[in-house]
Amino acid sequence: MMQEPDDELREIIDCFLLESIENLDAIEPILIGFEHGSAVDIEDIHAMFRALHSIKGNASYLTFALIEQVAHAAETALQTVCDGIQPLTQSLVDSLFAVIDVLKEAFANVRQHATDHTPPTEANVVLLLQQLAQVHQPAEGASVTASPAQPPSVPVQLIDTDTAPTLRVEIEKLDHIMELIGELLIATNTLRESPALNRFNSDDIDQATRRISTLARHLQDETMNLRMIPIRSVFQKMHRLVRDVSHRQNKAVRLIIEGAETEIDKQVAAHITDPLMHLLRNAIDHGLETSEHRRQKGKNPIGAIVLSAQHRGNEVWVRISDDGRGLNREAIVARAQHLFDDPPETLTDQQVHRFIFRPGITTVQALSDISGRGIGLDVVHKNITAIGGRIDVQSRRGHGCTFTLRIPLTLTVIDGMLMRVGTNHLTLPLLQIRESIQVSARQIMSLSGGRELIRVRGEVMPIIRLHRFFAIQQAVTSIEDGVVVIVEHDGRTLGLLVDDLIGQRQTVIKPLPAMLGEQLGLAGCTLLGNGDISLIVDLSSLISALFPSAA
Amino acid sequence: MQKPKDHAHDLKHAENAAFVVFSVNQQRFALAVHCVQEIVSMPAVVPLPNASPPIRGLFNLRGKIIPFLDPRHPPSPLPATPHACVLVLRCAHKQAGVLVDDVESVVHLSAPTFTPAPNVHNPFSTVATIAGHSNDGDWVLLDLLQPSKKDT
Repeated sequence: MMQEPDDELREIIDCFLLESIENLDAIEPILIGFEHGSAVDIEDIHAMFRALHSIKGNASYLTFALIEQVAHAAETALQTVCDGIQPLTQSLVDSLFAVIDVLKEAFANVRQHATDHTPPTEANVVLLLQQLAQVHQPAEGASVTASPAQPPSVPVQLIDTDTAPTLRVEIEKLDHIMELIGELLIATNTLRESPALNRFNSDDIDQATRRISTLARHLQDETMNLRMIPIRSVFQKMHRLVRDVSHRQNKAVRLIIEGAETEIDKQVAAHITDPLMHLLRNAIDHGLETSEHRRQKGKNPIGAIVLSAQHRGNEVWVRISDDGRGLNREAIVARAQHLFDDPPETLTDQQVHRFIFRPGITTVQALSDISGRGIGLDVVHKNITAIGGRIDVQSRRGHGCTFTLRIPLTLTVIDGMLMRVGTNHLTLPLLQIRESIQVSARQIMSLSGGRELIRVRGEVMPIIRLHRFFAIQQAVTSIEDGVVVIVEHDGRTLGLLVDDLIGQRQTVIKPLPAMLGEQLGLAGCTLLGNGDISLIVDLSSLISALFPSAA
Repeated sequence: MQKPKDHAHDLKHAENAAFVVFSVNQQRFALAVHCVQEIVSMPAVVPLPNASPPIRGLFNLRGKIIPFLDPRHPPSPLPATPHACVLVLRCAHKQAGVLVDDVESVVHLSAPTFTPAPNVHNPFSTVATIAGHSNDGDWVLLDLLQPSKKDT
């Protein structure tokens, strides 16, 4: 077995894992299709066969015996379908789902422990192999009808699919290119704003600099495109989840997917997978009623969940919409009572619903093993805001509930609001800003302990003096003379005091130098056209620094 | 964790070695020339009040954003003395600017010899270790910390 693989071997293994998971991802949709009654033709069977075969081959080369064994057994079972000995049956499909799970487990073992053998996995394999062996030897009298388009039993050909040739590139390399382009854009701006060059007052120079800056921007767009993948790969995983959860919950669920071709940044895709799974689990577990309940209410006995994605400006909106029972306002009020500053009757439904994102709020009394432990939605909310997105909920009692995730297209460039505080510049993601206002003295209230509040159209919120938090000298210190930027985060509304708003900017986020470690209140920094540095404000860490009790 | 460079030993026994000699808190220090990328005048620094000392903030060096370190003790407002300038240190593609009171000279020593360092406070602890005391001049030799493999 492999102990401490050296770098080269590590690289080969990483490659193997990546490919193998892609292979599994190719199998799953076919199995789910089968369960939904779509025709599975011999091509699909061959595709599954090829995927398993290549996993087996690679595993054998790398001496991952357990993976090889499982893939081989699955392949053998599928061979009977390939050869027309038996049709694809539900029990084989179930076994193949189990194969996928065990293989994924083994891949995780390889990643963590550099071996595919761990006692729990081995136990699962024993069971699975028995299951597959039964499928392999069909019971007597089993129907022998295979799909009609069945070719003579040819050994599996490893046909190259005729897709365009592709190249796998490490994200890190793309990040480096993005960084260089960011610097190119800044250099271009410096050039365009250079008083020395402008003094020439030359059309040639002007045109050339304009051209350079257009090209740099194109380059940025194209590079960003390289990072984009269709959201389909994320959505596909949800089919499996819905299948498993609905089986366990004994609920009939139909998952409808819209806009799977919508493209998002690969890194963003990785960040939204878990939140989406969580929301879907919740939708099935809490949102959808059982078939009898639905029938009694005159609804379609099969619950529907629509998972959709679409582009909206510089954002992707991902929606999860169910036609279940909707949120229960009274239950939320009952559970969240201690959190209300105002009497709950004065709050709109929308305001009440937002409380479900607060830590510790759950309205389900019975805990299931799937969801409902009072943790969850706050984590979803945290994960989404961590990537600069936001999450909204809309619900109609008895008619269902819709969660909308508004996610930035990419994590490296954001739409930012550039603000001035003293001689410093701060940038805040535009998505997090609700509005910015000037307040008058009578809206301001000072509390003991130096806390300050402002009242805006009946809503009271704390004021955070950014100049104080970031120790910036020569900033506006009287609230009436500055601008208050109202932000929403974690169901909390805050006013941030700044001197001035400078304007909206496409902001290339640079990480803070590693030497600094984590900096409270900061998500990174960016260079402005004139070479000044702007710090990028991170609301979630700013809030946890200022209100430790919120954490 | 960071560990001292392996070549600290070689450095102390190098022939024809060149050192940049500078002072901080009235104490003279030196670094091997190859550790110092350049010397720049006091830049505009964006303060990072919550960073752990001696990190004071960030500055822009021709489009690169670099940490700014202020080893003076006790810390005082920037900029410091009229001669104050910033040594840009470079080690394994990582850079940092260090504010020093004065850069004195670059000395070439044909056969430098060092004794174990006296009990000097190391104001550079985040970026350098004290490697020894020069027998040829009254200064303390510093050696840059090598980032561990994980950091690179």
